[in-house]
Amino acid sequence: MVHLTICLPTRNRQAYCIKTIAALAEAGGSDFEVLVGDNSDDPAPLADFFTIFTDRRFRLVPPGPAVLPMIGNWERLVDLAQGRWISVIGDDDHIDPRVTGLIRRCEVLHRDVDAISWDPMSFHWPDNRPVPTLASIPMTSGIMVRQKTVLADRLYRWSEGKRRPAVGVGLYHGAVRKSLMERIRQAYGGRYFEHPVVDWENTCKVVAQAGKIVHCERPFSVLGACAASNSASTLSRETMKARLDTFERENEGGIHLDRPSFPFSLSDPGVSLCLSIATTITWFCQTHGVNQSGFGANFAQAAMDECRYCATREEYDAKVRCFARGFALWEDGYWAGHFRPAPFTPPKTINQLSGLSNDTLHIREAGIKPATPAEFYRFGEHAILPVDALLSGARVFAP
Amino acid sequence: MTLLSICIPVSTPETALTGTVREMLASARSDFELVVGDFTGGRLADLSRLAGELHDARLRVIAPDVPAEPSQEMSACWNAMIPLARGAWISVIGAQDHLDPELAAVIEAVVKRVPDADALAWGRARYVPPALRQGQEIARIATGSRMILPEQKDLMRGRFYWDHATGLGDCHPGLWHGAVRRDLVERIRAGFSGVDVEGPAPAIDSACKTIMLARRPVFWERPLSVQGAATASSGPDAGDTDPPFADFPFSASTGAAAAAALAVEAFKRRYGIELDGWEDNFIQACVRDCETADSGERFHARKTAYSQAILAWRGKRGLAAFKPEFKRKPGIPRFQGVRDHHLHFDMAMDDTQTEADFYRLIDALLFPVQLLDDKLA
Repeated sequence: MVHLTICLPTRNRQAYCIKTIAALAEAGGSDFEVLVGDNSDDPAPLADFFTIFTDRRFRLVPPGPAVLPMIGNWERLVDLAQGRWISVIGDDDHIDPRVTGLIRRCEVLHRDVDAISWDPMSFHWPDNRPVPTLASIPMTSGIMVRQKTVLADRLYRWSEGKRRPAVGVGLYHGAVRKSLMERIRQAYGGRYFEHPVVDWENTCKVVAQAGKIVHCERPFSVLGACAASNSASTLSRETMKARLDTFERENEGGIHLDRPSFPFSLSDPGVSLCLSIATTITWFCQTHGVNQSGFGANFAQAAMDECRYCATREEYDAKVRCFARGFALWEDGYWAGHFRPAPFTPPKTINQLSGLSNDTLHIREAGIKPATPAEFYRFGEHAILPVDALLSGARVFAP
Repeated sequence: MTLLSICIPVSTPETALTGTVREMLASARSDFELVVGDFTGGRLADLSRLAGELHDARLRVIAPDVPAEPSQEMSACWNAMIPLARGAWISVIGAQDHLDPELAAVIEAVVKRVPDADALAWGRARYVPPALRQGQEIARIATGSRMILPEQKDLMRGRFYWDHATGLGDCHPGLWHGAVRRDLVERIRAGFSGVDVEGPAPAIDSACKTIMLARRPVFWERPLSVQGAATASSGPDAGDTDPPFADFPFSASTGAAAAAALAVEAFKRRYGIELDGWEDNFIQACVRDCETADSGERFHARKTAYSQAILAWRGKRGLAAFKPEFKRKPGIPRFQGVRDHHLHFDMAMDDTQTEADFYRLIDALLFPVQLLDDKLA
């Protein structure tokens, strides 16, 4: 019985994808499968690779007759998943298949758990370091049930007012029971996914539909960022604009990112990940009737927090203008007075503040050897609680 | 002006030395010098060849004569080379160790805020090269980056009273993996027998003297150097099984705690310092020394040696407080993660091979040295 299906949607980044597959194949165990959803323009590289790659735990789902939007690629993979649990990572990421042990432990501790999250590590591939970069490793290892009301508050109402809601629940670098995904499909118009910002959309739906959510602080995956990845766009606004254009183009006829009911433009030069998350959350809540009281003021706080992290005056001005334009239009400017960003202060350093902060170890990537997310995961495992100790619930350690 | 002299006394040829020197000279800084004392009788051929190749004015290889009795040999080496150092601050490390020349930047930042600072200590990192590891080795490094001005009484409680409650457990002022300002070096020399260090354990002797005479010691939690496991120059000869003091029947071979205690006792007795109230804490240090043994065999050997010495020293009452437990049993994992403001990690991380390589790793994990000045501003 396949316990976990790891979905690996990929598009035109075959070289990274093949490295990611090879790293996953090094894992022992037969209780997981990996579904590689190829949505590339050229099917040959992965098809050729799978002619010589004979690991039966891996299945290639080749491109269809036409390129699919991202949600289409995710949709077909989840549909084909045979595992009782499903997880999705990017083709430049890594996940430890021993996460099946964590899932089993959570099932023993909480029989009704249907979503499991963990804190991922983060890593920049060497080709994506135009400026100094930091990798990160969460250092704690507790396992706890997450209160849905707290998560809903953080997500739908953005109650913390930080640039990203601290939720981290869903298929993407998390695990969701297949039965929960079926409930989501039934509840939301016969599809698993609808919105182009597919990871945050799934987070909204999982928080809404899950029975019990368990969180493990110990990392089991690595968010990789290669030069061509969406997350690399946070390093380059030009790259981000190109990605958004691709979203819109490939999603013709589907949901659009710019909506009159939340008139912040994702085509604006000052667009940010904060804004795309807000767009997704408001779309979900407005479409499915979720109460968002307090969101306006909290989002204004989040927008101000986003502006605090600008590296240059130019970036700051662009982001402030983008948010200000949206707030002026949104609900007749009702929330505009809440958006009062602090003046720009140039950062003393950019991505150089390594060390331990808020239980996370930040590491200057120029000073370490790992060259892929899988190598970085093995590197990081030397400094965090071993999987065996976590799963056995060890509390006593030798000096 | 040379701000910092990093002294490396070498009494036996070390294959790692040329790598150590090369790594440190890779620094772009020009305000430090590396002084290698050749006490091998001219057997540092590799280093001489390297010095010839590099033509780097920051490197000096000196070979002073050392007329000394065997038990004083390492102290004699230190005493022969420290007066030849040109830096305003002086530090001593072993031939297999590594010290970040950015220490000079730390000194500048410290002196800017604490002009009377005369001794600088930092969090130490210890490293066991792959070939010397007995199973899994866990590194323990401080994660903090606070600059602390410790009080002399707290430093004395730590060094002379074995009191770990001071929160200064990693703070070891002195020349050894620390930096001492030249005028304090000279005051120490003038104040204690006219030499820099004495006895078979110059590192501990230097710490005792620095604690006694420093006017403003400063401690930065962040490690700046790596002490290799094979470094023997810091302590007495562990092979020495004869107790040097009849009323303190421990020998250097009993364990690390005993070796350190012997060096402190030697200092106290030489200068007529009598202290009471440290004995119980020392016995607990002996317990910890036993409990960190990496095998059952070593644990029992160490426990037996300490038991005999404690019984002879403090009688049955002393022995009653000595109850070490062997905790490194198979199946009990070693802790990895952050605990007590220290990062515990497997030394196999990043496949480091040398002390310099290990420093490269921990430097990437810790607060950046170059940001200290901004942090203190």
